[in-house]
Amino acid sequence: MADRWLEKELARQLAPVAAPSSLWDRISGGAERRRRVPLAWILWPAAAAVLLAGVLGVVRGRLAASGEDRFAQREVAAAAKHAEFDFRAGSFEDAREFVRKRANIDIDLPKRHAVADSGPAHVMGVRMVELDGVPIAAIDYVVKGEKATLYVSGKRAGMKGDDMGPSLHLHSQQGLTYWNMRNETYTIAYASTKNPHGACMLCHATAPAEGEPAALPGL
Amino acid sequence: MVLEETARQLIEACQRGDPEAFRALFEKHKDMVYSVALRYSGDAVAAQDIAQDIFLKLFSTIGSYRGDSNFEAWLYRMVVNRCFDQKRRTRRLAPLLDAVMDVVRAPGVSALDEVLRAEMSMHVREVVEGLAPDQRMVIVLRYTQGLSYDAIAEIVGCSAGTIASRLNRAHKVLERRLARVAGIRKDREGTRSTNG
Repeated sequence: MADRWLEKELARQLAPVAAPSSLWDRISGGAERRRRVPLAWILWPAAAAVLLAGVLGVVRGRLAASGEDRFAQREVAAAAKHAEFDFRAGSFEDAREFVRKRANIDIDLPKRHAVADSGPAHVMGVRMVELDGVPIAAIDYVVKGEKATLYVSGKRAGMKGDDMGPSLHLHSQQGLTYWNMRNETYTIAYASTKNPHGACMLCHATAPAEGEPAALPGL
Repeated sequence: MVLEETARQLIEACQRGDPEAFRALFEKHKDMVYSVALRYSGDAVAAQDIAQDIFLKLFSTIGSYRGDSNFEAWLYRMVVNRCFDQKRRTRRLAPLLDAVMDVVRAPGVSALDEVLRAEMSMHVREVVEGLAPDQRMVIVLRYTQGLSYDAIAEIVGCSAGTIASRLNRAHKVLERRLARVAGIRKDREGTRSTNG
């Protein structure tokens, strides 16, 4: 049996108390509040799902970008081993025709592109290489005295072509710019630091201004 | 236990959806529900949340209550289960401040006695809150509601012997943890009676 003082103290300290007068107001308004609670429980998972989707999207994008990055670098490395031209082209249109016939790759051009628009870009020739069973056309050209190469590869396994939409990644350190368009992957290798977007002038009459992203072919 | 006629009529009115009956049922049981919740949780805000949940649940489930069982025990069980669901609250400092302010405001009494009383009060509640949930609930039902071992056993769903055992263990824990404050207080009381 507990000490008497403890029982007395417990009875005193734990004595019943009157409920606050506001309790009924809380209860009579509680039905409405209860209806609101499930909304919060719906919103939180929805917000979490959106956040998760965003994170997954970023991660997927990063993975895809890193995959494309690696492919572009391997593309350049593979072409570097094949120094001889498979076709000496006098113009970009000749090079496009050769690539279409040789590898069934249709190089996209801007809607307002004309052969004469190649302007300062002088096409020298085309080298054909293969990477992971995918044909790659390397079109070499010179812009204002600087050598550039446009790599165009056929559709790769795992890529969805049209569904994928264009993506552009600028790699100023490695001098690589690549993007996907319809069934092909495009990579431009251009090392000029004075005019980093000069290589775009193969397909675009004017290069984008400094700090401005390069326009994509066909857009 | 057979329900009193008025209580039975009140419950039947609630089961028919009579809003006045709901209010009357609330008025009849609100202090019990709130007191148990407050003494168990030690937090007025949590106690109001618990009480609100209890009455909303009561009103929505009273249709399933059958008149042949003990209504009060049924309601107590809802309170006990809801209290057990309540997460352990964070310790609040407000009660301590209230106790100190009471001492400052109290005229004509020994400040030391009142401080000791306030300290004891704080300690008792803290120590009760530190008990294991099943022991704490038995203590609350016993000392807040003054229920018998049999009544507590019916609510908690175990034998009266188990309730007695839990109370005994809880008392021992409380005695041990309150020994220091209780010793000081006993000394004070002894000194006062000698002087008086």
